[in-house]
Amino acid sequence: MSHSHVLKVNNLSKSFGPTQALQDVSLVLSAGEIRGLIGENGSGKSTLSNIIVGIIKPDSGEMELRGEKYQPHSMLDADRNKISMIVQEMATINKISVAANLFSGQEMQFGRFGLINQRRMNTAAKEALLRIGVDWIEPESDIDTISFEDRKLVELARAVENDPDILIVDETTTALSQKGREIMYRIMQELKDQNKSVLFISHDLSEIIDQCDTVTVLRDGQLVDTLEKEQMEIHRIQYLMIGRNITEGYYRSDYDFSHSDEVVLKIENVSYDQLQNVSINLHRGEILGIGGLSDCGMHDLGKIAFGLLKPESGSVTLPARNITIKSPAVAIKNKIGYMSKNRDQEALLLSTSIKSNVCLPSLDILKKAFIIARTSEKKLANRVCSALDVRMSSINQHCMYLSGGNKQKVVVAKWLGNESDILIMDCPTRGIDIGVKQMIYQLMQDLKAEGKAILMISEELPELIGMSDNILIMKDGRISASFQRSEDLTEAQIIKYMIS
Amino acid sequence: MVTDTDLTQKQKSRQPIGFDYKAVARYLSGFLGLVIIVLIFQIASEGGLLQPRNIRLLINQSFIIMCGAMGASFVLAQGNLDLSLGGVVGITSTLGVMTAKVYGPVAALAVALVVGLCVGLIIGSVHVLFKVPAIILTICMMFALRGITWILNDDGSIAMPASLAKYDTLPNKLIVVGIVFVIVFILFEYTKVGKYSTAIGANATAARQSGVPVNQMKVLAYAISGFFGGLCGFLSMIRAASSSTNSGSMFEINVLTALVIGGMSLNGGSGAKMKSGLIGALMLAIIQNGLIIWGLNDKWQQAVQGAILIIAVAISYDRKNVVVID
Repeated sequence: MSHSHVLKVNNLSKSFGPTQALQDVSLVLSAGEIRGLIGENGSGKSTLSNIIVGIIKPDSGEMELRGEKYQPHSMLDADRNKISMIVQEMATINKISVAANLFSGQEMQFGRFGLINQRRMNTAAKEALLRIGVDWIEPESDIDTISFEDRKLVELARAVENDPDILIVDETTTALSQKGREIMYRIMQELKDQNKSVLFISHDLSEIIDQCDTVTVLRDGQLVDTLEKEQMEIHRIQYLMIGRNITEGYYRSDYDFSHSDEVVLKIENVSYDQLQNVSINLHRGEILGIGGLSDCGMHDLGKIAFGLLKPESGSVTLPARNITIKSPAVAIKNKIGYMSKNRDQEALLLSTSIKSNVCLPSLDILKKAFIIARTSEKKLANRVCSALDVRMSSINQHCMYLSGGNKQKVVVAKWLGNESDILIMDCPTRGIDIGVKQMIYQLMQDLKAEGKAILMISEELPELIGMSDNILIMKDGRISASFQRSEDLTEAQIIKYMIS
Repeated sequence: MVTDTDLTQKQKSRQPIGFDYKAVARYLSGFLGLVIIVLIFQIASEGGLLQPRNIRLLINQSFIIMCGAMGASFVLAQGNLDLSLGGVVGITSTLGVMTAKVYGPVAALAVALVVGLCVGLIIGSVHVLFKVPAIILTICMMFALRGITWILNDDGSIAMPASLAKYDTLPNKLIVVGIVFVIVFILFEYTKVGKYSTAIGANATAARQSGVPVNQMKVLAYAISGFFGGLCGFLSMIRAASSSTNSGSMFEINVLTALVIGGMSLNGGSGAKMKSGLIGALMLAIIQNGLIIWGLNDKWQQAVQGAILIIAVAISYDRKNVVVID
């Protein structure tokens, strides 16, 4: 195997506003290497891969491709330079066929006098799919009609069709079943055998260890270390990712899953989109975790519980008060809080002060007659922000200037200020640094102790195992398994109920 | 625990003080702009601008726009526009004159306010229920109302009973502006209506997730805008002593120009300040009036006003939140 360098990345830095997403990162990718890239949310993995394919421009630093200066201006540019990427999110174009997706941008190879020969394109698409070992997707079918997993495989076929020297796989495998994963792994190995390179980004440590020749660990935008195959060991990688051993006070240390029998929130036979007859009881003093793949319907379930989505059938009720949750306004009036997975888009008014954000759900509590006094707004905002130690210049600072972790604190502050009894947290620690993460976990335990109820929807298994009294696992819109808090519970036990 | 000094320092260094130059500029743009414009035209007109007689003229020219602009603050704060106001003024001043002839001024005012309110409710409801973009909807409403105004005025004008001319006094105007200011100021700064409206303008999805009844607030904002539009119709009837096919024409553009040059952000949200209407209306009047004193042909007025609006929007528009495909 030759060890010539294909891609050299030198001292890349990138910041988004006040957040240093990438700081002075250098790495060398050799031909015939499968390189793992791992790190916590917000550690800079995606920023790095996005810079390599030209989606993001670095603030400083440079790249060398096959010994020549490389400055991609777009993904198309990267494609031309034989670098392809498969991303986490859906990257296919809806309402057109599988074949059209496979060859979008390159249709003209099937063209003549400006017209595209559909039949030839479909045949070529079929061949491309077969080349990666997929025979069950028809090239003529509309891309919307095939499953999320199959769409990912179409993206893979498209990437392979481009005959890349470097293939970047950005957290794609979480969306794939075992079958899909195996196809992905096989393609990676084939590329390696052809002396091509792969940059493999994943959250799954065992997958990284199994598939990669080397692994690079990122933390807070900095490159911490690169390990060779023989050095790879789960605890060592975890230590590098987090910077300390995670046993010390990260998650709950108790294994007491007891909670009151009083049901505070009752979700009954709810159907919506792919959700089918889901029923959940949330008890006083309970942390109920809901896990699954991101498209299993659990995020919709959280929105339904808060009245943001209207279920097609079934209901969400508060048994104690005999109230049906029909809208967020009703939910908030009855002391339910909701933290969206998409913090910047849905949970915060970024261009507005911390004070206004914190007070918004509590205006009904703050008003006297119909007047909301400035002083009572200030008092509330100052009280909850200092309780949560929000790092800010003042409560008049706009939220957009805060780091991810502090933004999340403001979101929590909203619902603390509102004295919510039930908190629906959708991915509460998504993209926040460890210090804040730990604080949120501590807060969840405190709230539980106070007898509040928490519905935690999470895509991260360690978090579910580490924090929940009870865990419900969802698959394809149904609850596929439930687990009680236990010292012996492992990710492996749970994961098989998430994927087929 | 991870709260060792190095992390704390790092977190601190990640957070510069949020000094929003644009917000400060926008805040000052109102007052500062007013001062600058007064100075320019005061000098250019060799003191003519601030003559008592001219001040009276300025107030006459701007007080109706002030009321309309303050009333539209909530719609603007939500990031929407109300371009129906000219139509509302046209129809309500016409109906006002017709009512005043038979039932007197109080009934005329009541009719103007109720009709304005209803127009606002219709706009808001159609916008919310049928998801028609507000800008299209309000323009269509403006045309519809203008058409009815033409028909009611029978291609001409209707004179107001002469007895009502006595209300057309400077103190009355100042009192009306004062009352409108106090009402809108309290609603805007100290009640849910204003706070919810700015929250919707900042991020409607997040506002909804914080318990803001977004649709109801949108309807309410148009209702308020329409209500004060009706008031403007009544005021314009008193001032013109008649209604005509031209009543209220260009009013919506005047209100929009006043709001924008007064520092209102067209994106809504926390950039929305209700004082913009007050200051902006005065600035607009001074510019129009000043240009005439300066000797600019009044046929150029509209061209100049269009240019001012473009410049003011270009300065205040928040481009960060607008996606332009490149």
